Amino acid sequence: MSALQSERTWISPVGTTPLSADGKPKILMCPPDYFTVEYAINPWMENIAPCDEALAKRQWENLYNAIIKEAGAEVLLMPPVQGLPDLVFTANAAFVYNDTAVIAHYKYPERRGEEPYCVEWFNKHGFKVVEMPDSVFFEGAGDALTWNDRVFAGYKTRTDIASHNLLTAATGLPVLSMELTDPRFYHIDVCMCPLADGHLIYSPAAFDEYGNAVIEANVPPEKRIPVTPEEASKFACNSVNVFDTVIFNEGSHRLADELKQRGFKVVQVDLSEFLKSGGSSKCLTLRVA
Amino acid sequence: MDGLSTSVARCGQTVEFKGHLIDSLTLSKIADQILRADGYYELNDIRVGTRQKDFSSVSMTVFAENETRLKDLMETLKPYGAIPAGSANAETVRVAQDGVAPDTAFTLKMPKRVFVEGQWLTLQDGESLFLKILAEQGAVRPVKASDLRQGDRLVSGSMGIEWS
Repeated sequence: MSALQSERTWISPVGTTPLSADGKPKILMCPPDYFTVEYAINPWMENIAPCDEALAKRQWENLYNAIIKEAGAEVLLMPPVQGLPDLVFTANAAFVYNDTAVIAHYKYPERRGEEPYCVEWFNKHGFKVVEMPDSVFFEGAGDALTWNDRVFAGYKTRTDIASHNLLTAATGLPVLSMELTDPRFYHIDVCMCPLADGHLIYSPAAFDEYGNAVIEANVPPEKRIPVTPEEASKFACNSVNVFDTVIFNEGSHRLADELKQRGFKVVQVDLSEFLKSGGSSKCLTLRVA
Repeated sequence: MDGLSTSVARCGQTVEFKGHLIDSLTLSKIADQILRADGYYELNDIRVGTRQKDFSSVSMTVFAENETRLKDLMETLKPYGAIPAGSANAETVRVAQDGVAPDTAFTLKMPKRVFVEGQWLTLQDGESLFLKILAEQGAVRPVKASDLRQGDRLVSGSMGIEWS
């Protein structure tokens, strides 16, 4: 048990969901059986080497094992679907809080085929399913991160700001609307990551002066963990946090050291094949309990 | 707010915003975007949510030098949630008790007092006015609180209202 773990009562970022009965944290993942990079809907997908699908499967399994063995969470699986390569990025499927799952409505038609499968999964698992109107785009927990009693929610690149009102109406959570100003950081979960005990990893360069002022007004200085643009480019902000364990892509050694100093246990997993698609560990997971 | 000379030719459009405008600094950003584009704005109405999870709403008329610049400015404001007045339904609220306006009812701004030669003079019969919807007549009428009757439907919020 680390110093961090011994001092704190863990608060689930998703509240009490229909899957919370046994008290064990649960994460939704989707095996990469059909994962490949076959279209370009973000800057990371352009002009890159082909995806090594066998390697991607091994990397996904390493992440799966780290979540179970290192972080102590249970992993639930969404069945993969042929022709929907990005279904593997379950973070985008929905925003979950208490008994409600606000389902994604994707900006790009390439991903809209995922929506009915997400609706089906959350219905089947006892959630109250809320869907966005046709005219309002919202990309799930990729663009909405619960921090303490509020939500940092991204908009402009993929998600419409209008969805933030519906998010509050569906969950009762206040939302801080954060404009994403760098097209490389197209979801807020690639430039920000709330951690246990109110810590917040974020890339100041990914937000404008207003966004940084909002972070500074809400998050106490001692809880802020800013990363450099280089670290953010290695998807350092796209981390999975369960209890005191933080899992992220390999290569951000300074951040790893800082997190260890703050009492976190750090696990780095090579996710190079998923980076070609603009995603990393957080994008491959969705906390559902 | 009328930062620029009104003598320049101007085109205006009334737009509305609703959401987490204050804590997210979205309203500040909207105002700055307008001024940086050499436009200006007049606030018609602003309602600030009283709790963190409450929405705020704003109606403003945005002005630019000509139609083209106004159109560009509207495109700039769209991602921040700008809705042209008239494209979103006004919200309404029912009167629960005769003579008592619900807290959320829209109130017409009327002067209460006028400062004349060093002293405040109070407007006689300075009751607030509310907008009562007369659906059968296809009209909206300003009414005093004392004339409200249980079940009357009043405009609330600030969306769906066009300002002159």
